[in-house]
Amino acid sequence: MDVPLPLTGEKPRSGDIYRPPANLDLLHLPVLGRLLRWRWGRLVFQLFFFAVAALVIYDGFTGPQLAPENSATVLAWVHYRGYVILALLLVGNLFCFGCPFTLPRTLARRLSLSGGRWPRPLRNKWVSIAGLFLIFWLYEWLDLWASPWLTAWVAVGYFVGSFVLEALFAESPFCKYVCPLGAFNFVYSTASPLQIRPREAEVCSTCVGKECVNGSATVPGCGTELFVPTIRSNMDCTFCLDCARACPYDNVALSPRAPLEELTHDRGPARWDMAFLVVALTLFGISNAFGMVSPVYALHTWMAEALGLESDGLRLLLIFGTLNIALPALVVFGGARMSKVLGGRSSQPPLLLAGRYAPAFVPMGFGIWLAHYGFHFSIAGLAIVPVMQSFMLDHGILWLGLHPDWGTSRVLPQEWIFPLQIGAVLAGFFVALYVLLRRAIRPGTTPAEGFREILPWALVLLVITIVSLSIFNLPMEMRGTFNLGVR
Amino acid sequence: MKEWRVRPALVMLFLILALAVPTPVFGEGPGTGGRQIRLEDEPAGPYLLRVVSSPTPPRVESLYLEVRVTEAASGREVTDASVWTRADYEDGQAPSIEVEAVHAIAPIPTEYASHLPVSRSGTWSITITVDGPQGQGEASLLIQILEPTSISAFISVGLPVAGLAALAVIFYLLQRRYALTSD
Repeated sequence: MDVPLPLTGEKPRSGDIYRPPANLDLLHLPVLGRLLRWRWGRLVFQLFFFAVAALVIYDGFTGPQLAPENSATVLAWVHYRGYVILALLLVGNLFCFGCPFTLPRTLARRLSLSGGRWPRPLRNKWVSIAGLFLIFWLYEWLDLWASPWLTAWVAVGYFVGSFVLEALFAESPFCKYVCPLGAFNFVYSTASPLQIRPREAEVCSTCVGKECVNGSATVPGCGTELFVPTIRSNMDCTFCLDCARACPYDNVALSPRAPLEELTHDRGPARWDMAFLVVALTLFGISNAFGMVSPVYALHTWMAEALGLESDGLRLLLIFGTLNIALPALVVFGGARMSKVLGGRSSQPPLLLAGRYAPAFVPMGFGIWLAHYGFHFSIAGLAIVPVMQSFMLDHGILWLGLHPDWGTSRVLPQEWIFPLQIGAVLAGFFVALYVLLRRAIRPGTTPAEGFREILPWALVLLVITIVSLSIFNLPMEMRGTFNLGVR
Repeated sequence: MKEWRVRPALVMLFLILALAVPTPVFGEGPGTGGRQIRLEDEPAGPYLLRVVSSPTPPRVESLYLEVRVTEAASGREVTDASVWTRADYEDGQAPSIEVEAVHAIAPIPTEYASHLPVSRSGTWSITITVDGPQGQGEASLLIQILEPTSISAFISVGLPVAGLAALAVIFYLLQRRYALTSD
């Protein structure tokens, strides 16, 4: 098997690879390290999440269809999202690590007959972007948040999608090229504090088998085909730790790294799809929050009356298409072009400029998602207690009491939540400016040229921040009602 | 190696067919983060009530209630009752509000819903009265209403603009130092 090139498509140069200092290796901590490196270590976590997914499917199909009373909707739309964003902030891509949807892989691999490779034109993030668009659009159109039944079908869809792609192709394209959840986690794990790295670079340089990517006799290699000594980003790393288990030299470490090290590094993904994904996810964050406040209903009414769009799906397609496809395209391609024009003589081609400055949208998007998902988790995180009480009672189990305590809901005091939301958005903006600053200063470019280069991106980030703060300032609407008489 | 052929036409066909299906603007079921169960199978005379409030947290001018009425004896859902919701301010002086809960605005068509435009923050006592074929019933609960959120223009616009201005100042200083060192 060929060792894959890093994301930029450039050949790795030994001095060009960021490696966090070997100050701590989580894989060699006394208990945790042994568990993580244990051959079935990941399976333990996956089985836990598999049990959760099974509960989502079972309760979604058979339980009460009132969303706040059903574990499918509460676990998927409150806890999963809160868990993911907090895990990414504090640790890393822990959902992909414990992803239950990849569990049926072994069976799928045995069924695999074709051994085909994922089509070359699709070896990028465009399919993931389309998947993200589809899931966010369906979320609003079909009100997935309101339907335990549909939420259960989403979980089933993930299992089927992962299984089918695994069975059809020799590699694991679902995680790397298709999964919308994975795309979200990959992007924001670039701001996470942990990264896979080699313990000793020299060991890798003399390694013949390259088991970390090719696999050993008993352990598969990296499913997304990352080669440990060339890893310079958390992008595409599922934290599965197969590389660590496969390495015959025990030379793979999971280490903390300096905050923002990856984002401020000057070797971002010089690919249009990557730049688009990062920017689009930020704007997905805005449109997702926008869907919960009253102006969106006014917009729906206007579109129905002025444009004659009677179909809810079409209206949402237009809104989401504008906010999440047209606008990111304008920002990425227009921003890169403007950077080129303003940057002057020393400026780089637009593609390189997009790759250089789009990562500044990672902290911005992170702040918006943290404010949004953190809000739901803060006000409803403990709602799982009465939901599980109710679930047990429905099944004749009295262990958790006879009366669900529906008053149990908030994780944080109410008065903390709004300031924390505002703080998250503002922090995201300031960190984004810092990332722009660090990326703009480079040899061969004067600070004035660098400033002109980042100006379009900084202005877009400014507008995004003001819009986000305005949206979070609005009260959440009572969704699922007759609002404005448009049905 | 075999290449997998994509059929974009099939995907487009699916999307077009899906879009052709008429759907309501907003869903028929209550949400998760926005809704909170306040009472579950609460006795109210011959009935049992489930009361759900939204949004979460409820704020001034923005309190919605959804009420499901079932017969306590048979468990049958009651859809032909008259349901009234009343809000009385507990923390001081504010006019009471009484609104009929109706099917027309209920996300779940067999339930009853009402919008109570509570005028002040604080504790409100909510009373739900049901008058149906089996007789009358009443249940009460307390709901805490919060002030609407608000951030000043200084925070929502001033701070971000100040951040951008600070960035410009940093670059100005860097440029000045660059010019001095290159001279």
